[in-house]
Amino acid sequence: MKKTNIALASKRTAVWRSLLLQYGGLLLALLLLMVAFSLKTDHFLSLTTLRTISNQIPYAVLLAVGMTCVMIVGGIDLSVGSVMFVAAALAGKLVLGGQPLWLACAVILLTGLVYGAVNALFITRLRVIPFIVTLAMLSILRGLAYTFTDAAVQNAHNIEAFRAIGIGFIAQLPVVGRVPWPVVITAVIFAVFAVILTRTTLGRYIYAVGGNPRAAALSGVRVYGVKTLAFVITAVLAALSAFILIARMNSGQNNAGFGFELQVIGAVLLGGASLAGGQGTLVGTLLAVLLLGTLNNGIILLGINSHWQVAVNGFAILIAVFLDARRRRALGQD
Amino acid sequence: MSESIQPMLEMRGIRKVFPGVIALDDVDFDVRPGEVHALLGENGAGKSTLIKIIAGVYRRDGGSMLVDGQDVDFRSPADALEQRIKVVYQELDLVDGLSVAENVFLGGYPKTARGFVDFSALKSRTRALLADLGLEIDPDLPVGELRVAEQQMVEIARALSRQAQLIVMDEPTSALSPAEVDTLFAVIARLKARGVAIVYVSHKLDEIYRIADRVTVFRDGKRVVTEEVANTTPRQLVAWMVGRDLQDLFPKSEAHIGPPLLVVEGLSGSGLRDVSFTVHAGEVVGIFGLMGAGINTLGRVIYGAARRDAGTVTLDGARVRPNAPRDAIAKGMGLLTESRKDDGLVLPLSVRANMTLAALGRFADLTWIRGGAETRAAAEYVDRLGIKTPSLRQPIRYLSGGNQQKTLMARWLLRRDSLKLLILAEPTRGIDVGSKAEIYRLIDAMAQRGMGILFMSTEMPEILGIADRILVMREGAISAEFTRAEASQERLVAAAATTEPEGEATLVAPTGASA
Ligand SMILES: Nc1ncnc2c1ncn2[C@@H]1O[C@H](COP(=O)(O)OP(=O)(O)OP(=O)(O)O)[C@@H](O)[C@H]1O
Ligand SMILES: [Mg+2]
Repeated sequence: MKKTNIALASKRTAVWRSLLLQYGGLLLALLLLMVAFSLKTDHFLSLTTLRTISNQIPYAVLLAVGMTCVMIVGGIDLSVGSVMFVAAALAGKLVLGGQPLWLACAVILLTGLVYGAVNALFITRLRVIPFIVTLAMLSILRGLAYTFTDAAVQNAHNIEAFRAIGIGFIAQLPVVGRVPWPVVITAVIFAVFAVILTRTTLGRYIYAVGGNPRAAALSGVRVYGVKTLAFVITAVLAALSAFILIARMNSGQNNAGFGFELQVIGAVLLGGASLAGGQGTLVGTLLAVLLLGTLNNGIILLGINSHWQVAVNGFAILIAVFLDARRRRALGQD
Repeated sequence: MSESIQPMLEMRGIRKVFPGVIALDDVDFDVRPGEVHALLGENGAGKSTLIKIIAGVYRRDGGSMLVDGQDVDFRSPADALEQRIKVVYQELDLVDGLSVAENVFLGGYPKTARGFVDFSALKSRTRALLADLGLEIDPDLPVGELRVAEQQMVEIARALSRQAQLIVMDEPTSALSPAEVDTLFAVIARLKARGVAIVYVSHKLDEIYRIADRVTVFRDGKRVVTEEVANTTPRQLVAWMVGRDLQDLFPKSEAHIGPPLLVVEGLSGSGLRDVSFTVHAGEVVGIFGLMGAGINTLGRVIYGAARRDAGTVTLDGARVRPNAPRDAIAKGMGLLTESRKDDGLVLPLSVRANMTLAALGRFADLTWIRGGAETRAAAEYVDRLGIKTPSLRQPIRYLSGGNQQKTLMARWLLRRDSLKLLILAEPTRGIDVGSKAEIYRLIDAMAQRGMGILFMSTEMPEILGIADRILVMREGAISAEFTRAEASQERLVAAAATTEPEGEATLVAPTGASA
């Protein structure tokens, strides 16, 4: 037989080239935006702006990490915003009622777990499509939460216990200065999931199930288990991001998490995931979140009507879908 | 040779490059009206790529293309159709929910004076087109209810409704029964008689000798030769394809039959009727049957991928649970399904990830994948099976059909240490002659190691070539059993034939057309 000798094929350069092909566009767009904004405004690249962004980014990243997992597995989760809201309301209520912070934290993570499991149950066992299940969940959760919090919690500000986390910093680091806790937590979680997705059997199975569930099942993959896990991960991360959000805002907010699901889905799509499943990476997702974050911030700094922020997300989804379609066309897959 | 005839299509110096692959390199090609021109070549040689350029799916990177002597440049399949060129792909692009007639005239329905769709004209014109081809298919039937062969005919009728002068067929017979192949060839003969040019891709040499006038052989993206079929021998064709002489297509060692390994008793469900048989360790058992006889279903039911209503499956003394592929795998089974796209390939994933999917545990500590070990194992099989891919990270969707199939075969070979029984359904579908021999050799080697092999095929020569024992199925039940020595083409055909003439009610081979 012919010798392909594929293992030796110029490994390093090939890796870099494919990385550049994959993320080059996003990276370039991000850099261009930053340069453009810093030319237009005097203080875009100031430390304050970076702080502002790094304040806003963490929960978006956490949500996006979960959403990336769910979308790779071929699903979608429209209920993350509501999960956030419920978690935030619940935490506020508990802490106000005099419960310790750790208990509140444990309770809301558990809520996330249960929601994820319920979503997964409908999707795997009852075979309802994810879009419908999580759309229903979106309304149900939000409605329930409104009812049982009866607006009391949301107006309680300055809960002392949250402050430590919300605006606390970990010790002084060289160069970057003080790093906020939310950033640290988010970075750790991002890294953990990046490793899971690329280096572990679980990650591989997530991609395989999303790419072709039947083939995965016939190869011995626990398809239901993997799907369930993906939905649970997403809900738990949504709950966790709620925790960070209320900690920063220092209040349980009435509209916490409202409309987040679409922002996050937009970012994940822009980052290279596909509604068909089996595709997407956390690096792509992160770049897309940063891109949209920068864009939103720039809009504010430039003094443009902030309603444009809402529209920007819609554009992001359209662009992502357009790029995906064009790539498919070029490869003759239609 | 009739050099004076103006070719319907002429291509000169065609070049097509994908990242890391030169798929076509300076290829010349032409087809004349009324001619069947066959394309032959190993997996990944560039046949489908050439066809997609003809069809306007890909744009060429170099060279020129002339239709009826005029320069053309197709930007989309619509452009090709405009020049009356139509491709019939293996994955047919018909709309399942629409009727036969609606599909045939899709995109160009006859209209009444008031501008509404003229349904009676639609129907009668469809019937006329099909009759021209010598076919009787009800124009009102939804296409989704037709068999693959009939759907193919609808595609051809659709091509004719657009006055196609060139019809391209990419491996059209890989899912057809012998009778259906006869019908297809009769239709091709009629098309020829009307002056339609045909490009025909196949790995089956006998088909090329039956219908083709000329053949072009490709190797590694280059054209090796274009020749009148009558001036060639099969041996020569193979030598051109693989670049050397092929010795032995069916390497078969003396079988060392061990104790019973797989015991199947009273299996029914999914159309099977009370199937019982035994496979011994070290034995290759072939299951032969015509399309629709249930041979592939049998494999699925044993494995748990299709519904089992009754009966038992015992592997090496352990009962295998029904409808639970994971249990079958855990007890030592593997299944290579016949439907590559639906049940096998994970299209967005890499060649490596596809290959190691069923054996990932072997390369992982707890859950951590040892990348180096995985890569080495995958690279070994890429070399052994001669899988053509620019890298192990290449998404498998970009591999040629035959190379995808080899990758799926490797998926189970990688599990060989825990595998006791391997069920192979049409494992050589779409695979070139040289690689077939390699796969037969691997099957033989695995049997030598004491593995049991259950080998389903609708192709008689390979069943006869590699099986120690052959079971013939008919209508979901086993109708005969032969040892290797007893088996012959005639006996298999007789045992496989249904009492009624094999469901040919709607698909009548035209008489008078010579194939
Ligand atoms: N879209 C694509 N992207 C990258 N490489 C491709 C693409 N399509 C085809 N190739 C590569 O081009 C080469 C030729 O492929 P092609 O499908 O034409 O082979 P083929 O002769 O039809 O083989 P087979 O007999 O297996 O069908 C292969 O090496 C394949 O991997
Ligand atoms: Mg091909």
